[in-house]
Amino acid sequence: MQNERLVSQLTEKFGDKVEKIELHPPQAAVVVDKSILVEFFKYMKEDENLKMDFLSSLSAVDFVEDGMEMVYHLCSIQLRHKITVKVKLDREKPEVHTIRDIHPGADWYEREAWELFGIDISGHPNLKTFLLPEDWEDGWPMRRDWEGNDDFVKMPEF
Amino acid sequence: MDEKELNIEDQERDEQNPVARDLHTEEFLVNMGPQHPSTHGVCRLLLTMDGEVIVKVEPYIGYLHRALEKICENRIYKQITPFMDRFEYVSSMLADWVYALCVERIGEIEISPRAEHLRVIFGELQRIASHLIYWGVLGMDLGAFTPFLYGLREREMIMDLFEETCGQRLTYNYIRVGGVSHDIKPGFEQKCKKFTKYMREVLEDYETLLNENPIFLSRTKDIGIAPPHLSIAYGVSGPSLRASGVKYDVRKDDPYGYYDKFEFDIPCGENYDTWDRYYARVFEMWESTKIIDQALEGLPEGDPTFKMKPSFKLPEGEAYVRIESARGEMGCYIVSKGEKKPYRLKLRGSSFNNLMIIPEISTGLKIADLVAIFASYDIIMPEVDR
Amino acid sequence: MIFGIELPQIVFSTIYFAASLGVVLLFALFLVWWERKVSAHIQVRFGPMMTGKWHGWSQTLADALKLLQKEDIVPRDADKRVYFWAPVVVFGATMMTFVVIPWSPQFIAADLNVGILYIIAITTFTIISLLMAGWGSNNKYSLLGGMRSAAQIVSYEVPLTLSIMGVVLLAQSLSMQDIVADQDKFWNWNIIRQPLGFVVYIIAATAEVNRTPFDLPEAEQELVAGFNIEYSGMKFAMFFLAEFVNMFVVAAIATTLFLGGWWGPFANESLGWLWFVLKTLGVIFVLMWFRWTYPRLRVDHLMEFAWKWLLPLAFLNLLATGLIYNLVK
Repeated sequence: MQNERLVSQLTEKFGDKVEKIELHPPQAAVVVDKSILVEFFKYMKEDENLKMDFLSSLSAVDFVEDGMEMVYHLCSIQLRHKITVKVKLDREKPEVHTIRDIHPGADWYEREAWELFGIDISGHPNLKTFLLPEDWEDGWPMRRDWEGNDDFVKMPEF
Repeated sequence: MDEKELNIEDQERDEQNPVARDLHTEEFLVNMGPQHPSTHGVCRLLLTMDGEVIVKVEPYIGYLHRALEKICENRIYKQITPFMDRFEYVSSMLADWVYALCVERIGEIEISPRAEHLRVIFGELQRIASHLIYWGVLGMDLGAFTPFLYGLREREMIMDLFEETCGQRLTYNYIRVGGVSHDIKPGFEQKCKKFTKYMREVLEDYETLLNENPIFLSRTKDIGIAPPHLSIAYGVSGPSLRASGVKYDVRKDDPYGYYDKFEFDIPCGENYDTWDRYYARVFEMWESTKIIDQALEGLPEGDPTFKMKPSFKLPEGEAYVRIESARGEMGCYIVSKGEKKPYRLKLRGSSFNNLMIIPEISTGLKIADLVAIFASYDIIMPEVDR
Repeated sequence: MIFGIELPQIVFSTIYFAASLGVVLLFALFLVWWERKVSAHIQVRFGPMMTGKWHGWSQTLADALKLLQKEDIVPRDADKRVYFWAPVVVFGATMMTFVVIPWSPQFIAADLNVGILYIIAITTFTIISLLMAGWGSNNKYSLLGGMRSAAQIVSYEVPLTLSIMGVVLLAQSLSMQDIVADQDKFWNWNIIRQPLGFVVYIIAATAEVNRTPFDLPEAEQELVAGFNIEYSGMKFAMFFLAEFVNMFVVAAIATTLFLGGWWGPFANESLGWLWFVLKTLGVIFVLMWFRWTYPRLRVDHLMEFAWKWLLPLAFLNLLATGLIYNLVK
C-alpha cells in the first residue's frame, strides 16, 4: 500500500519523466530520466510525505545490450519507507549528474562507479582513482565485457 | 593541495596580518598510514597539520581492494558465502547473514523457525564479539592497553561457542542460504546462558574501568561532535548514527529474521560525541545479551540446515537487503538473471560511509582526537575496500 | 675506608659510581622483565614464560643480545651527527644522576652539598637528547614527539622542583644524605610531613619519565613511536634502557626525599641499601600500575594540568610548609 502511494506521488509530480517499474521481490521502484535527477532527489528529500534523507546504497549495473543503470537505494529515517530509483544510461557515453550536493554520502559511491564502470559523473569535483592502483590502465573492470588483464584468472565453469 | 599552493596561501596570509607573520608557523603534511598502529588496517589519511592541529584530512583507500564484487560475479551462489566472511572479518557471521537473506528474498526460500532463532543467537553473539574488540581497541587507541586484553578474553569465550558449533573461529561460513550449516551441539544452550550471565557481570566491571575514568572522559566528551543531520546526510549508520541522536535501528525499523519477536532497547545519544559512540556500543552489548536469552528461551525444535544444490538457479529479480551489522547498516544488492551466478552483486559496508564523515568532523582538532574519533567509528578496512 | 684500606676520595667515588652503574644496568634489565610480568598479570596473561625456564627470567637478556646484533639503520636524510649523539646524551645524562643517589649511609659516589640541585640540572639534559632525536631522525612523527617531550618536560619541571623545595626546607639542606638523615623516624618521613608534595612529585615525575598517562612523546597510537621511531638496534636499546634507568632514578629520588631513603627496621649501616632498593621497587611498581591502567592525556590537557593544577598545588604546599615550619620552630 505504502509503496504504491509513494510511487504514485512521484509519478504525479514529475509526469512522464518518472516511470513506475515492477521488480521481482515487490518493492517501490521508479525509473527516472537523468535530466531531472538532481531536482528529483531534492524533491524526495524535502517533501513532507517522502523525506528520503538516507542514501543506503548506490550501485551501477552494466546490462551489456540494454545499456547501463545507476541504482539508488534510499530510505527515510523518520517515515521508515524505502525506494529504489533507477537511472538508465547510454552505454557508449554514460554520464550522470552527481547528487553529492544533496546526499554527501554519495560522494565515494559515485567515485567508485566512475572508476570501476567508467560512468562520467558530471559536477563531481573529486574524481580520482581510489580503489584501483594508481597506475591502472586496463579499462573498467566491473563492466561485464571486460576482458581482463594479465593478472586476471577466469573461474572454470561449474 | 601541494606544497606550492600552501606557500602562496601562507604569503597572502602574512601580508594581510602582520601579527600572523611574526607568529607564523608552516603547515606540513603527515601521512598517517597505510601502516600506522591506529588506522585499523591499511587506511591512509593524508593530514595537513599546523603543529598539533589538523587543518585537513584526506582519506586514501583501496589498499585492501580484493575485487570481491567481481569475484562474486564469477562464482555460483553456494561459493559466495565464504567470500562474505572475508568481506567483513570482524563480524563475519553478520556478513554471511546479509548475503543469505538477499538470496532468500529473491528466491523466496522459506527458513525453518529453528534456523531463524539460531541466526539471531549467533548474530547477537557476533555483535557482542565485535563490540568487545571495539571496546578494547578504543581503550588502546587512547593509550590504555589493558582493556584490549580484557575484551579479547571475553571474545575468546564467544569464539569457543562458535568453534564448537561450526568448527571455525573467525570466518564461519555458518549462516547459509536457506538455514545454517550445523545444528547446535547438546549443552550449547546452557553454555550460552552461562555466558550471557557472565557477560552482564563483566560489563559492570567495564564501566568501572573506563566509563568513569576522568582521563577517558576528557579524551572523549565533546570530541568529534557529529550532529544528526550531518550523520544522516553522510549515510552514517548503526551505533554511530544512534549516538548522533537518531533512534534508528534496522532491526526495529525494517525488521528481518525474527527480530520483531524480541524485545530490546536501542540507545540514543545526547551529545553526539565520541563518548556517546562508545557508550552506544556498551549499551548494545547489554541488549544483545537480552536478545540471546529470549531467543534461547523459545528455541523451537526442527532441522535448521538446508541442502542446497550446487547448480542452484535463482529466479530473475533484484533485491537490496540490509541488516544491522555491528558497525551499522550492511547491505547486499543482487541482480539475478535466472542463472547460477549473480549478474551483479554490490556490497554496502557501513564503514565506507562512516569513514566519509571523519574528515568533516575532525578538522580543527588535535591528532590525538583524530585517533579517538577514528576508533570510535569502528572503521575496519575490508568493508571499505571490499 | 673500605676493607680497612685507606684510599683517596676520588678512588672511592669512582668505585662507587662504577658499582652503581653496573648495578643499575642489571636493574634496568630486571625492570624490563618485571614490567612485562606486571603488565601481563594486570592484563590476565602470563608474559614471558619460556626463555630461561623459570618465568622467562632471561627474556630481556635475550632481547638485549638480539638488539646488539641488529643492523644499525640510519635514515638517508638524517642529520647524522645529531642522530648519533642523541642516545649517547640521554644515556649519559641518566647515568650521571647516580653520582648523588644515597644507597646507604656510606654508599654514595659523592655527597654533594647541592645534590638535589645537581639532579634537577642533570635530568634536564633528557629534553635536549629527545629534541636531538626528534630533529635528527628527519621524520615528522619524530619531530612531533620531540616537540611534545620538550614542552612536557619543561612544564613539569616547575611543579617537580617546587614539590622538592618543601622537603629541602624541612631538611635545611640540599645534600641528599642530609635529607635522608633528617627523616630518622617513621613519623618524620616526608611522605607524612609532606603528603601533598609527595603526590605532586609522583605525578610530575611520571610526566618527566614519559610514562602513561603522560607518554605523549612516544604515543604509539598517534605518533607510532614518537622520537625513537627511526632508531634501531643498539641505539634503540640505549633509549629503551635509559627509559627504565630514568624510571629507577625517579623512584630512587622519591625514596630519598619522601620515603626515608635507607632508613628501615633493624638497619642503617649494613642493611640500608636493601631498604632503599625495596622502597624504590615499590615506587616503580606504582608507576607501572599507572601505566597499565590509565589512558593517555591529550597534549593540551597535559599542559593545562601542569599549569592550572600542579603548579598552584605545589606553591600551596611550599607556602604551608614554610608557615608551619616557622610556627613550630
